[in-house]
Amino acid sequence: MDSEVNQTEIIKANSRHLRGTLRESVADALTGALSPADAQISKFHGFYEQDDRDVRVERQERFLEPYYSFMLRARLPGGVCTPRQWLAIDAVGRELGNGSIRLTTRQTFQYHGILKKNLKPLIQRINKALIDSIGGCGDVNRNVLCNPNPENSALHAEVYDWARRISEHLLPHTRAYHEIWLDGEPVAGGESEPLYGDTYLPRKFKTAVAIPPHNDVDVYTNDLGFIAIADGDRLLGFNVLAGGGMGVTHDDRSTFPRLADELGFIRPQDVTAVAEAVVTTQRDFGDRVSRRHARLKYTIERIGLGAFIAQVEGRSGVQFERPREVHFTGQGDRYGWVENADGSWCLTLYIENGRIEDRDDQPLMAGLREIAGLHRGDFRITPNQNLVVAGVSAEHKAAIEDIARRHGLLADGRSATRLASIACVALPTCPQAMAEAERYFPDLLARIESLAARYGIDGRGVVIRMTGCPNGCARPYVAEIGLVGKGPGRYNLLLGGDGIGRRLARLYRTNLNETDLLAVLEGLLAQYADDAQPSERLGDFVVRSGWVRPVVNPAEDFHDSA
Amino acid sequence: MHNAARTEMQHPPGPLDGHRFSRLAQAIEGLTSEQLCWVSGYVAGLVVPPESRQQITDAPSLTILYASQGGNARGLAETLAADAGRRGLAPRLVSADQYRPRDLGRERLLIVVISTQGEGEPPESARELFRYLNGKNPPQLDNLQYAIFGLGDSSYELFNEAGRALDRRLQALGGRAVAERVDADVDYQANADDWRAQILRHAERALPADEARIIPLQRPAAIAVRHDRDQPYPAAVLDNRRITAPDAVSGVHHLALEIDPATLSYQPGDAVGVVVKNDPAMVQEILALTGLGGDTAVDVAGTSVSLSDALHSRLELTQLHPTVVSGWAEITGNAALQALAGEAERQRRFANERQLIDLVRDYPAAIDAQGLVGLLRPLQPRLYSIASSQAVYADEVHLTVSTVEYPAHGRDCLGAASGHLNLRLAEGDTQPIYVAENRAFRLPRDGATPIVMVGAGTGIAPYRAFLQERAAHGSTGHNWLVFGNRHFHRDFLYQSDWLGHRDAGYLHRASLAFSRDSEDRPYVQHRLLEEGAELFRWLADGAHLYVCGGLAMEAAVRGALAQVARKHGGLKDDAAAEFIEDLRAQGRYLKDVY
Repeated sequence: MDSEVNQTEIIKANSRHLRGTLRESVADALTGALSPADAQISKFHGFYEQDDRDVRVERQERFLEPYYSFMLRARLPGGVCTPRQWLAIDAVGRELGNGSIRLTTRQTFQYHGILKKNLKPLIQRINKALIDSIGGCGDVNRNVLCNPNPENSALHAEVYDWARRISEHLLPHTRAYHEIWLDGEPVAGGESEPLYGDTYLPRKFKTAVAIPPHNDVDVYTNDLGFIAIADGDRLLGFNVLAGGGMGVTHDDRSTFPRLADELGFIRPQDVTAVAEAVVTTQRDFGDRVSRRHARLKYTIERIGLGAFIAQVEGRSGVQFERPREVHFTGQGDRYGWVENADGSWCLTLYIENGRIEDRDDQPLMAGLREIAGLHRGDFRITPNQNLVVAGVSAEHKAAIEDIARRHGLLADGRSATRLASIACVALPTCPQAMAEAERYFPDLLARIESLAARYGIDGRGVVIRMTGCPNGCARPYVAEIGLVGKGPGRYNLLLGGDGIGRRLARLYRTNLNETDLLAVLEGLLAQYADDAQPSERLGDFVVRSGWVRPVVNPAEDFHDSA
Repeated sequence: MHNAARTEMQHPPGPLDGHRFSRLAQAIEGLTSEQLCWVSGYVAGLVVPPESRQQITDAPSLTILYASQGGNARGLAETLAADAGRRGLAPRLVSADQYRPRDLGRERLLIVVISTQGEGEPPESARELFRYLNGKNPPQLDNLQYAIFGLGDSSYELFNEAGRALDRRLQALGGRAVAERVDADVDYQANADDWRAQILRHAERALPADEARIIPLQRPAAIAVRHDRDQPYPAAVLDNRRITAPDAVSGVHHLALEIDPATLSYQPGDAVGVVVKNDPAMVQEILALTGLGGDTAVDVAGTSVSLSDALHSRLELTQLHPTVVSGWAEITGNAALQALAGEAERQRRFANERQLIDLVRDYPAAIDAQGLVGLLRPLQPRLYSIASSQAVYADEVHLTVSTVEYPAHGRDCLGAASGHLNLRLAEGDTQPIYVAENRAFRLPRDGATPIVMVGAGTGIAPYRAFLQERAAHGSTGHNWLVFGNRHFHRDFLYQSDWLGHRDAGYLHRASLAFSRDSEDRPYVQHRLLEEGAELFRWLADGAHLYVCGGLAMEAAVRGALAQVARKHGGLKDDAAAEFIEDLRAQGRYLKDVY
């Protein structure tokens, strides 16, 4: 092995197909943490080591190690689960997590605050509900997104099935997860890993499937994207995309967010072969020296799109056809009731920040439990961290709405901007966070809402997204207003996303505190109120009126000044 | 390492008695031949009269201190240290979190490379240093010359604030900057090269190479005053901090007291006697309840003092002796109290459950000041096991003190000593102490002997001293810690120390029993039973077993040990008891219980 590869590559190579010394690390009672190498390996099993950063320094002064706990992210293709599964997810969150469930922008749920000794019981419990966390994090294909599509259940069912098949197809073959957590028969790492090889991918890998006209999955921000092309409710095939990604390192001009390129159109039966070819091309060509430059987007920039397409076609034996026309209308969710073609109904609930817990005024967890108790359809977690109660029969509609209303689960009464906006988890648990996001975003939004009201534009929704660090979990680089944490109370401000996920935002100001940020936004909203055309989105307005120049080729121009 | 001093040396004929000789043997155990040569020269030098010896410095002449977050500051400091080394200087290169802030007062030339975090914060590794410099008792730095290289990012508002703040502070405390502070930006390399050259030129001028190489030594003072309970040593409080989490039931504090190693020395296992004072609020309350004046002069053991002084610092108020109860019964004529007099056990229990103030409040009496004084017993010093080793902290002694607090008789009771130490003693205060030797609780003479350390709660304190000592001497014996307390996250005393010892290879096994973390309420004796086979193996290998904690816990440990001897040693009941007796007779079952 090349002696220059990064440390994570060596850990993976020595891990005996992701076993490492996880078992020993979990049994080590002297610390609530895993060994550093096992903390890397654990990501492939779906969980991340974290610590409560609010008390880190205080504990250090008391000779106590950080308050370690774990975040476990489930694998839930397309975000779909049954009411029975939901009840299991809920019970586990209350009993073995920190009492909350966090819906994520990857259409899955995660638990926070899991103590080390509770990891194995927790994984066994969700396994009983037929849910696993394989590849929830780590350098493999992550949870596959799929548009939750409330309007057309027949098409959704078919596309969702492809999302599920992609997810299964790209699973690692190692039995490490079953051995360590589920007491499966040991095979001691002797199995082969035909798709990934011994060192898996150079970096995380994200896949999404979109059903136009909705781009709620932000398909262009994924390493691998599929856009369903349908004739009515008949699926014809997919446009394939590759090389999208959000993560950036502050002030490192060699890193940038990137929208995926179109590779071409394929028939449904070729989906897994093409997915596999994209993955193995990245496996073989991705950068294993610098993790900062290891995502597929950099690989494509480096080898060129033509060479990349040739690799994928050669490996899959599939020739791309010309991509079909697609038209997207938005990145957000459609709240409230939508009727399906088959006469059943879907209710999209609003979950602020995706955080489901029981607060005094809003017992969200209890409400969802009650809904799950009588619901016969399924639940679909959306890429905007909300939840769809799907396939509701007409007779249950009133009862479910009543429960949702009583527990604060309906979108009613919130501004269009709030309903279109999202924030990542950040402090106190996320080890990457440089600034607050989830805990702070609702208050900041309230201030922005009152500014909008002052200029009479509170009816116009703006996609605002906040992350606590530049890795971009809440996809701020495709928001109309993106806020990326730089330090405590400080954010970089990006402007100019188009509201449908097809144009990157540009860095407009760096390192703003709240006062300065609101001053900039007030100027912007005032001008938007005066000068925008009737249906012009804020993101389009800032580009047209010259607040920012659009990002054309992020590898070259993302870091240029506005 | 065949040149190393052997651990088992015969006691040769000579002026040293066996005990002294074994301590010498222990001190030089594991040294290389080069180190042994140095030691022999050093010891010989002690015989030479002091005035004929060359003046020696007591600190390295050049210290390069770095506080790094991303590693840039460390890299720069390392380069500077390497350059200095090539020029014949002997710098001490140290990370801020490994640096003892109090050593600042002894530095001569201090070079600091420090980065700044987002909001102008110093790196986490420098937190202690900043806390100390900005604390209540900052050092005098009149002899300090220093230079600072700050690494920052000018896109932040508070650019290089950590370096600036440090500069301001060092200057305010008397330090003199020998080079202008550098506030370097993200591209710092060119600045760094110039600065390094400047620093090296200055160091070479200011510090002759041979002097920079002198190794700091201090000769013990000729005749130490022997400090005891009547003549305690006035130790300055360096540190007093709670080390259990805020939500822990018990408030355990770590105290560091400064001592002069020439005057006060101790061994791991020893205790410190702490001369305490009663709670002034409680004294006021007693005065109010009795209606006595605090200024009234009273005679305490032949000395005339005010009554409030007597109650505050001379007389026992919280540990009620039965004789006080009977004395009080006589004065009050209270029938219930007098009835107790005939029943020693009931009276003892009554006394045990109360402090003087309960008696004064619940059984009011007319008493004069001298009468009250005559009734009370002298305030006794309290003993605490020492939690540090002088091999690591030559001029400090550390204590681990749990605040004794409980509600009784309608009020919150507070232990006199723990209340005094944990809640009323502040950094910078002086605390009179003396060393109370405990020869019955010593590390094995042979550093290769394995030890099993069983402790509950603050009973872990001496083991911190043990492992510091063993690590400082590079002892090869295996160390097994068996520790119990309530909660892993709240009450794991000195957890980061144990993790550090394990990483360094000095903690080979740890068994933990956190009773409130699981339904089966495990205690240390349960761990010993579960791991009985291993325990028996360690004992068969000659391990010494230490037990520190409450009486009940020691009894439970002994019970567990008997079971282990039966189960894993195949011994019958009598033989199992004998097994423990044998261990004790061999000095391999050692306890420090209270």
